[in-house]
Amino acid sequence: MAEPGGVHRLLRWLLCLYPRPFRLELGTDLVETCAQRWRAASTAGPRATLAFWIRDVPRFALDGLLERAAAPSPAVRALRRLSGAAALELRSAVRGLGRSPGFAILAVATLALGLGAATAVFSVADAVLFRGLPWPAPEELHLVQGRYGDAFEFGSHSAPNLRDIRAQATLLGGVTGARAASPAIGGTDDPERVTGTVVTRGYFELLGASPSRGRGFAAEDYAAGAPRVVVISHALWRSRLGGRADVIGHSLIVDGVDCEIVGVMPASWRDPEELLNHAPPALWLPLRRDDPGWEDRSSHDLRVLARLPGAVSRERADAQLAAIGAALGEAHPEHTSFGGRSLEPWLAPLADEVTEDARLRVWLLLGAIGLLLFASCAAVANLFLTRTAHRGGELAIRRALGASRGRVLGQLVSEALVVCGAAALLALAVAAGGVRAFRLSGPELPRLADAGVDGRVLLAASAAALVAALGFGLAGLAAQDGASALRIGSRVVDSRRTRGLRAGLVVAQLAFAFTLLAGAGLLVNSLGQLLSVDPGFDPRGVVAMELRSGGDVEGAGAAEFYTRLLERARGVPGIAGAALMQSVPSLANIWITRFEAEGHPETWDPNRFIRENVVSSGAFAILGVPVVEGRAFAPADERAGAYLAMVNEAAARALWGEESPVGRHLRREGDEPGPWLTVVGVAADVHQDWAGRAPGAEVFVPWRQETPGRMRLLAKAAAEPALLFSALRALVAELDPALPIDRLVPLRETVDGTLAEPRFYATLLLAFAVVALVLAAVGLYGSLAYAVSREVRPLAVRMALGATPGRLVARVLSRGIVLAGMGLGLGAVGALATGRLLESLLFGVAPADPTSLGTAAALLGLVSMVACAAPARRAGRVEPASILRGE
Amino acid sequence: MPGDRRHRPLKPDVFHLLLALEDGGPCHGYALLERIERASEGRVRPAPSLLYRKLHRLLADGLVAETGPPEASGDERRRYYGLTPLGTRVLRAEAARIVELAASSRVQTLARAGRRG
Repeated sequence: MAEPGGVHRLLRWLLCLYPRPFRLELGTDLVETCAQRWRAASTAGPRATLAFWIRDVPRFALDGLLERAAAPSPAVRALRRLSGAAALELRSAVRGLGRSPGFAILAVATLALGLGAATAVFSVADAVLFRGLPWPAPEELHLVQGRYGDAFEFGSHSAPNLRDIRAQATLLGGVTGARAASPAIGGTDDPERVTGTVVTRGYFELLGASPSRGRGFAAEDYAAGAPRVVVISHALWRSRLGGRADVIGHSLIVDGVDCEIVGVMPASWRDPEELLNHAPPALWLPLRRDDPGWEDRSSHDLRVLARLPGAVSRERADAQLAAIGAALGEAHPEHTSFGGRSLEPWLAPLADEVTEDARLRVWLLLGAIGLLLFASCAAVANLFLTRTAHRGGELAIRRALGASRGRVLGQLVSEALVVCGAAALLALAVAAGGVRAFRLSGPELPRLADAGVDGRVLLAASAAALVAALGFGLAGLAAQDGASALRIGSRVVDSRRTRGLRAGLVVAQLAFAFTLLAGAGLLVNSLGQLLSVDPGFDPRGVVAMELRSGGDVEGAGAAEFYTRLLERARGVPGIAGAALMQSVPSLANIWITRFEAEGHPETWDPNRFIRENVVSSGAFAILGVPVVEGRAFAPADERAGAYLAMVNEAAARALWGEESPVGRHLRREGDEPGPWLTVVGVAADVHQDWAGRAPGAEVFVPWRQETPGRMRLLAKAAAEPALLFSALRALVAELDPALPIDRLVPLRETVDGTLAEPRFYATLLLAFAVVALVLAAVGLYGSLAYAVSREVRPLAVRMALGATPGRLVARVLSRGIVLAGMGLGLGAVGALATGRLLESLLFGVAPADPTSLGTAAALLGLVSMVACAAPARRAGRVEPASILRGE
Repeated sequence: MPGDRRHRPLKPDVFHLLLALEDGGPCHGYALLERIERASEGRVRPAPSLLYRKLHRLLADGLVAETGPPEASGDERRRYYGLTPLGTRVLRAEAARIVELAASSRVQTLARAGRRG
C-alpha cells in the first residue's frame, strides 16, 4: 500500500465506521488531511511512516467507533426512546403491583408453579420422546427382530445368522450386532462388575460414532488370537482411570484377561444398549472369531442393528429378509426353524423400540401437567379479572380524563407481563428442581439422563407466559366496561361478561381438578391393591448377595467356590441361615426352559416356557416359602447325579393338572432332552417379578446338579440385615480377591423397588391433583367472596326487607353448589377418559372404578363446600343498618 | 460572558486546537495539525481523526466555523476552519483562567517542585 490511491481507499473504507452525519460533514476532509500526513510521513523516512501506520491508522478506526458510540444512530435513539417508555410502563406496573402485594405474590406463585412443573415435565418428555435419537440419520436405524411365523417373536440372532443376513441383505445399508455382557474388571485390585457390550464389525461406524481418544476397532481386532483390545466409556475413563491423558495403550483387566485400551468414547456418546436397557455400557469388546458364539447357530444372543436407506421401503427390506430367513431355515433347520416354520427376520424402527415402554407414561404425565397448567392459568386469569373489576372505577376515570384505550390496555398488559415475567423466571428454578428430582427419583425412562431445562423449553415457557400475559390483559380490558364503571364512580363494577368469564374459569378449574383427582385416585387405588398382594415370601431380614463366580470358569470351579462360600457363610456370627438361589423373587433373572412331564405328551406346548431355577437346601425356609406337598431339598440331595426337582404350584398345575406331581418325572425338552428328574416336593407360588404379575410356573433343581456361574447367596440376619454387609464382603474377598460382588442388598429393598414405578406415578399424579384442587378451591372461594363483596348493598336491602340470614347463606351456597356441580359434570367426562388411558397401568382396579371416582367426587364436593363456607357466612352476617346508613 | 461558561474549562487538546486557530487565522486541517505540533514543540501530535472529532464537536458547539480559503493562495478542494467570536471569547476566558491559576503562589511552588522532579 505504497501509493496514495491505496491509502485513500483504505481510509475511505474505514470511514464507514463513522456515523453518517460526521461522514457527510467532515469525512472527505478528514481523509484528505490524513492522506497528506501520510505523504509527509513517507517523505520524512521509515520512522514516520511506521508511526503513521501503527498510530494514526488504528486511531482513525478507533475514533470512528468512539464517534459512533458518542452519537447513536436514529434507529438506536428510537429504540432507546421506546425502551424508555416501556421501562416507564413496566416501572409503573411494578409500582401498581406493589400496592397489592397479596395479588402479585399469589399470581406469580400460582403461575410459577404451573409453568415450572409444566416445563419440567416437558423437558423430560422432550428428552425421552421428542428429541431425535442421538445418532446420525436416526430414522434409518432399525433393529432386526425375528419370529417363527406367529409362534413366537424374539429380538436377537446368532452370530452365524447375523453374518448370513449381512452378506445377503443387499437392501440394507449396513448390518451389525451387539451382545450385552457383564465383565468383571480390575483383577484383584478392587474388582468391579460393569456393563459391557460385545460388538461385531462395523458397530461404531453404523452408529456414526468415533472415540474421542484413540480409535475404534480395526478389522484385525476381530481376528482369532489377535491381541485383546477394549474401548472404554468416558465415565469409566474418569472414574477408574482417573481421566489420565495417556490412557491409550494402558491395560485393563477384563474378566481376568489383560486388554489394551485402544479408545475412549466421548461423554456425549449414547449406546443403543443404554437406551434399550437403561444400563450405560462401561466398555466395548470386539466379538472375535475365536469367541465360542462365533460359529454357534443355536445361541441367539446378538441384538442386530441395521440401517435402512431412506429410498428403500421397509416392506421391500422385510420381504428380502424373509427370503433370507426361509433359505436359512432350509439350510439349518435345527436352529433356524421352529415347528416347521422358518426364521423370519423383520425390521423394527429403533426409535419405536427405545420409547415403546415409556410412551404411554410420558403422555400421561404430559396430559396431567397440561391440566395443571390450564388450572393455574385459569386461576391467574381469575385473579386478573377480579383485580380489573376492582379497579374498574379507576380505569374508567383514566379513560374519561383522556387516556386512550391503547394506553389503558398497555397498563393492563404490562402488569400481566410483569407477573408472567417474574413467574417465568421463578418457573425456571422450579423446573430445574423438578427435572433434577425426576432424574434422581423418577422411574427408568430412556434418555432421562439427558433431560435438562434447555433453551427450547425456556423459550416455550416464556412464550406460554407471554400468551398468558396478553390473554389476561385483554380479558381484563374486554371485561372492563368504561361507561358503566364511570356511572358507578369508584365502586367495584362488574359486567355480565366478566361474571360469565369468571364462572367459566371456576368451572374449568373444578373440572380439571376432578379429572386429575380421579386419575390420581385410580393410580393410588391400584397401588394399594399392589401393596396388599401377598408376595408369597417374606423378605424381612434377608440379604441377597449376587455373584458370578470364576468368570468364564463354570462347572466344577463354580461349584467348589459356592460350596466353600456357603459353608463359611453359615459360620458367620449374625447369620441365622444361608442358602444359594439362582433367581430370587424380586431379583429374578429368568431362565426359561420347555419341560415335558413323563407320560403327558399332551402337555407339551411350544409356547409354554417354564422358569428353571437352581436352589440349595434351606432356600425356601429362609424365604419363608411353604412346601405344600412332599418335601424340600435336603443337604443330602446336593450331589452330582441326584436327578431331583421341585416344582411350584403353577408348574404342577401346568404339567399334571389336578394330579399330584410328587414322585413323578419331568425333563427338559429339546433336541437332546435332559435326564428324567424326580419331583420331590411342591413349593407354594411366589410373585417372582413383582406383585403386578401373576406367579409363573417354575421348576427348581438342586444346585450341585448343575451349578450356574451366577448365583445369589441368601443370608438370614439374626439382627439388622445391613450389619452383615461387611462380613459378607470380607468372606468373598478372602475366597476370591478378583471376584466383584455384583450386588449386595436387603431383599426388603428390592421388593419395595419393584413397586417404585407405580408409587412414583401415583405420588406425582396425586401431587398434581392436590395442587389443582387447591387452585380450584381458591378460585371458587375468590369468585364467591368477590360476588358477596359486590352484592353487599343488595344483600343489605334484601335483609332490611325481611330476608332471613339463612336465606342469604343459602343463596350464596347454592351458587357455589351450581358451580361445583357443573365442574363435577364436566370433570366426570375427563375422568372417564383418563381411566381408559390409564387402563394398562392399573392393577386390580377398573378404569371406571366407582370407589376411586366416588372418592374424588366426594373430596371435590367437600373442598368446594369449605371454599363456599366463608363467603356464605359473610352474606349471612350483613348488617343492613350500618351499610345502608353509609349510603 | 455567561454564554462562555458551559464550554469551560477546556480540555488541553481542545485548548491547543483553539490556540492554533487563533494564532495565524483560519487554516485547513493539515495545517492545523502542523501548527499544533509546532506550537507545542512536538510534544502534542494529535492523530488526524482525533483532531477532526474535536473539530466536529467545536463546529456543532459554534466555537469554530467553516470559512472560505483565506486568500487566493488557498486550495479550493480544502475546507478551512476559523474561530468564531464565541470561540475567541472562550479561548480568552480559558487563558485568563490559566494565568490566574498559575499566578497563585501555591501552584508556583508545586510547579517548582515538579520541575526539580
